Amino acid sequence: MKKTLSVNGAIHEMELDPRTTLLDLLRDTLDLTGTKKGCDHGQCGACTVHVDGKAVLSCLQLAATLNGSVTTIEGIGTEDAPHPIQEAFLRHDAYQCGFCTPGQIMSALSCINEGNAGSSEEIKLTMSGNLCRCAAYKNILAAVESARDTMEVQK
Amino acid sequence: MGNETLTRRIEGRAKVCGNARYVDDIRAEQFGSDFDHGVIITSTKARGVIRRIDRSATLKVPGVLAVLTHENAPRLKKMISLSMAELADIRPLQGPEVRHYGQPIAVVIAESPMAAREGANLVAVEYEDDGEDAAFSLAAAEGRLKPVKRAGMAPGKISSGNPERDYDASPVKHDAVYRNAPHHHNTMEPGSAIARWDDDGGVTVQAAVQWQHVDTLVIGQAFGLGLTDRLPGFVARKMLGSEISGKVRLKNTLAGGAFGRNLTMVHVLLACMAAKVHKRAVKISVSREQCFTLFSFRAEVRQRLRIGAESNGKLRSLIVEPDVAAGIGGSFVEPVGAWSCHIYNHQSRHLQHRVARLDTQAPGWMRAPGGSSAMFALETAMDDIARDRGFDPLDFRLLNFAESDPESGKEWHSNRLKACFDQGAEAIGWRDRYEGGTLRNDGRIIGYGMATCWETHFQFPASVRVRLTEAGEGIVYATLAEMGQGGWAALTTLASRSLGLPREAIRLETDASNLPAGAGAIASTGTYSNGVAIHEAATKLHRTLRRLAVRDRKSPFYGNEEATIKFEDGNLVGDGNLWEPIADLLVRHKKREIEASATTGRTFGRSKKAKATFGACFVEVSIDAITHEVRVEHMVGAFAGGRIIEPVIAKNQISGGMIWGLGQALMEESTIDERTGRWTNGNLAEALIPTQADVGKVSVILVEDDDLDHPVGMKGLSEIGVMGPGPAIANAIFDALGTRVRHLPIRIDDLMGDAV
Repeated sequence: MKKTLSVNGAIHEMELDPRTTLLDLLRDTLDLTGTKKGCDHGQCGACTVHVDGKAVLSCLQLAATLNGSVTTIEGIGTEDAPHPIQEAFLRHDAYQCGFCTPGQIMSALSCINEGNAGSSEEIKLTMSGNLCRCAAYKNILAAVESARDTMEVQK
Repeated sequence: MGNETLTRRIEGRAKVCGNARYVDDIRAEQFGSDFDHGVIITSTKARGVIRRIDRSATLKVPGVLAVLTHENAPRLKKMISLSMAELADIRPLQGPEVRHYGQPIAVVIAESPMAAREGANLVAVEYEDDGEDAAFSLAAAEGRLKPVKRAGMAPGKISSGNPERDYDASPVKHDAVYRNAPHHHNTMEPGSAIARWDDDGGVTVQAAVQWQHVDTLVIGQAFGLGLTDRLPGFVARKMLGSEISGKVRLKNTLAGGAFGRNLTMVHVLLACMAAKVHKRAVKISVSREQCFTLFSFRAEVRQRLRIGAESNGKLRSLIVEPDVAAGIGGSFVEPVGAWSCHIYNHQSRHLQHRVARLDTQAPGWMRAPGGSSAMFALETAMDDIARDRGFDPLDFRLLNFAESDPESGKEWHSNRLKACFDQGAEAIGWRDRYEGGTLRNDGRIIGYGMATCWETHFQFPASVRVRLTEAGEGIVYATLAEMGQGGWAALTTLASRSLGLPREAIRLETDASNLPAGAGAIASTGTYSNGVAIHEAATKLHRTLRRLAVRDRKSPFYGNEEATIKFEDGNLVGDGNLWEPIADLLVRHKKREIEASATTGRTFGRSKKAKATFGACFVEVSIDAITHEVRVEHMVGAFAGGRIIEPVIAKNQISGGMIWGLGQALMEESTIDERTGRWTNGNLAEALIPTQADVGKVSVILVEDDDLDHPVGMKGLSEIGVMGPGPAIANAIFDALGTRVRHLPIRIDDLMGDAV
C-alpha cells in the first residue's frame, strides 16, 4: 500500500507492506538506525520516538495507520549542535552502553515538554518505561533535571 | 570546539545523537557488501530427536531464499572454548538431537527481515521423545549432583586444617542453606551477527564480542581454517613467528550491554554457517524471547554454609558447600567458592562444589560470577551471627578483619576495607541509625543492613602497538570491546598518561584483530591488561626518543643524561626548563613515525602479594507496614579500587552495578516450566529488572587507594557494586521486620504472615 510520512521534517512517499511497524520502517527503509529494537513488544522503551511531539513506542505503531509527523533521535540535534537534552546526557554521563539512550532521550524530552518533570519522583515514574540494564538511572535523572532547567531558561 | 569537555567517552556524542552503530544497525555500506537476513528457529522441546522439519510453507513465502537445518548445515570441527561455553560440547545443527528447550534447530534466510520472520513462523517441526526424564532445577536433579575439581577459573574443592572438627568444637555455630534463583543478563541489545565468506577462503564477521581473540579462535577451529586461526595468537607467534594470518576477520562492534553474555555466542557461529551454505553474506538477528535460550545466564545456586566461631565472635572454621546447576553442555561452573574464604580471618576451611547438569542451555559468566551467591550467603550469615552474639554488624566485620588473604596466606597488596567501612558508615549514618523496626510517620518500617564487598584482581596476556607520528599523534592499536564500561575512554587516558601526550592527541584503533593477543573485556581486566601493555610500549618509545635526543646536536637535550628526560603534554621536558616537542625530534630525524609493540601479562599477573578490590555496602530500607512492599531508600557503596582512571565513568558503572544488586535482591528470577523446560517469563515485562522508578538514593564513594604496584595502578570496579545490595537488603529487612530470608530474590510473599 502507498503511504506518505513525515519524518524529521522530510516527506517520504513509499510503498509498504501493511504489516510494517514504524520501528522497522525507520530502521530498514529509511536507514534511521538511531531508534533501537530492544524487544519489539513494547516492553523496554528503546524504540521511543515522537509522533506530533508525543512519545510513542514505534514497535507497537503500524506505519500504515500512522497519522502525524515523526521525530526521531536523529531529528533533534547533531553531534556538532546537540539539543540541550543531548548535551545534558553528555555532561552528566547519563549513559553507558548507549543502546537505550535514544529512547531515554526521546522520553525525557517528552517528559519535560509535557510538564511531567516537576519533581524527581515525577520524572522517575514517567520514565520508568525506558529500561536501562547498565542502570545509568542516577545520571539519567540528573540529566533530565538539568535539561529541564536549561530549557526553562531558554523559553 | 569544546568536543572533549562534554564527555570523556570517545563514542559519547555518537551515542546520544543516534549515530552509534550496533551490529543490527550495520548496513551494506558499513559492512562492505550486501547481505541477506536470517532468523533462527529454536526447539520447543527440551529433550528428543527431530523427526521432520517441514519447510514447504516457508519456501513459498515471497523473499525466503533458503532454510538451513542439520540436514544441509556444514560439518563443524571441534572447538576449544577458553570461555568454557556450550559450543565446545554442542555444535549447532550437526544432528537431529535436541538437548535443551530453545536450542537452535534451523535458520531461515530471506531477502528481508520481515520475510525471514514470516518464513520462520511457518516451519513445522515434528519431534520424537527420547523417553528420558528431564530436570530443570536442582530440586529435581538431586541424583545428578557430582563433586567437581574446578569451578570457573577457581578450584572446585579447597581443604585446609580440620574444619569439621573445628566446627563441632565451636561454641557458636551457624548452619543454613542459601539459594540464589537463576536469572538472565537481559542486555538491552538482543544481538545480531553478520558473516561473509571471502575469495581467500576466509570469513569476515561483524559481531559484538567481549573477547575477540577467543571467539576468533572458535570460528577458525570450527571451520578448520589455517593453523594460525586455530591457535591462540601468542602460541602461533611463538611457533610460526608471525601475527595471526587473519582468515577470520572479526570486526568487533559496540555492544548494547554484555555483562559476561557476549562470550562465544552461538548466533555468531550460525551466521558463519548460514553464509557458507547460502554463498552470500547473512545477518542473523536474535529476538528478545530467543535471548533467554540462545545465550548463557546465571544458574541456580543452593549453598549450605556452616561457620564455627569462638564465643568472642572470632571465626574459626568455614565450610562452604555450593550445589550449582549447569547445562547439558559447556564446562562453566558458577565459581561460588572463589570468594568466601578470602574475606575474614579464620583457622580452617572446607569448600566443595557439586554440580548437577540440568536439561537447559549452558549457564555462563555473568557480572560477579560466584560473587552474588557466595557473598549473599556469607554476609547474611555474618549478620545472623553478629545479632545472635549481640554485636553491631559492622563491629563484627571489624572483629574478623583479615590483615592478609586468609586463603593464600599472602599479604594484601593494599587493603583499604576499613576506610570503606568508615566512609560508607558515615554516609548512611550507621552509628546514629534508627533502631530497626522503627515506624515512620508515613506508615513505613525502617531497617538498615550492610555487607562487605570484594573482587579479585587478575591480568590477561595483551599485545598492543603504539605509534608516534610527526603530527604529534599517539596511535594505539589494542583490542578492547566497548560495552558501556568506558574501556575506550580509559585506554585513551592511560595512553595519554603513559606517553606524556595530551588526551586529544591519542587515537585508539580497536579493530586490531591481527595482534597476537588481546585481553577480554571482563571484570576490568581488559582495561588493566591493555593499559599495562600500553605502558610498556610507551616505555620503549620513550627510551628510543631519549637516545635520539641526547645524541642530537640540534636538541636542547644534547649531551644530557637520558634519565633526566621526562615526557609531558607532547614534549620532552628536563631540568632547567629544557623542552622540545616530540614531533620536532621526529621531523629532524626524518622519521615520519616511530612504533613499539609490547606483550604483557604472560604470567597472568602472578605476584607475591594478593590483590583485590575491597568495598562496603550499606542500605536503608522502608517497608510498608501492611503490604510489606520493600523500598530501598538509600544505598551507599564505598569502594577502594586502586587508581581511578576516569572517576565519573567509574562512579556511573559502580552505581549501575549496585542497581544490579538491587535487582537481584528484590526482583530478578527467571522461572522455568518444570514440564517443558521453557523459561516462562522470557520477556522484559515479566523477567523483572530495575526501572528508574525502583531506584532511590544511590551514593558511590571512591576511597583513596594509592599504594600502586604499577603505574597503571587500577583494580577492578566493574563487578564490585553487584554483590553488596543482595545481602545488605536482606539484612536490612531482618533489621526492620525480624524476618530472615535466605534466598534471593526476596518478594512480598516471603514477608507476609509477619505481624508488625
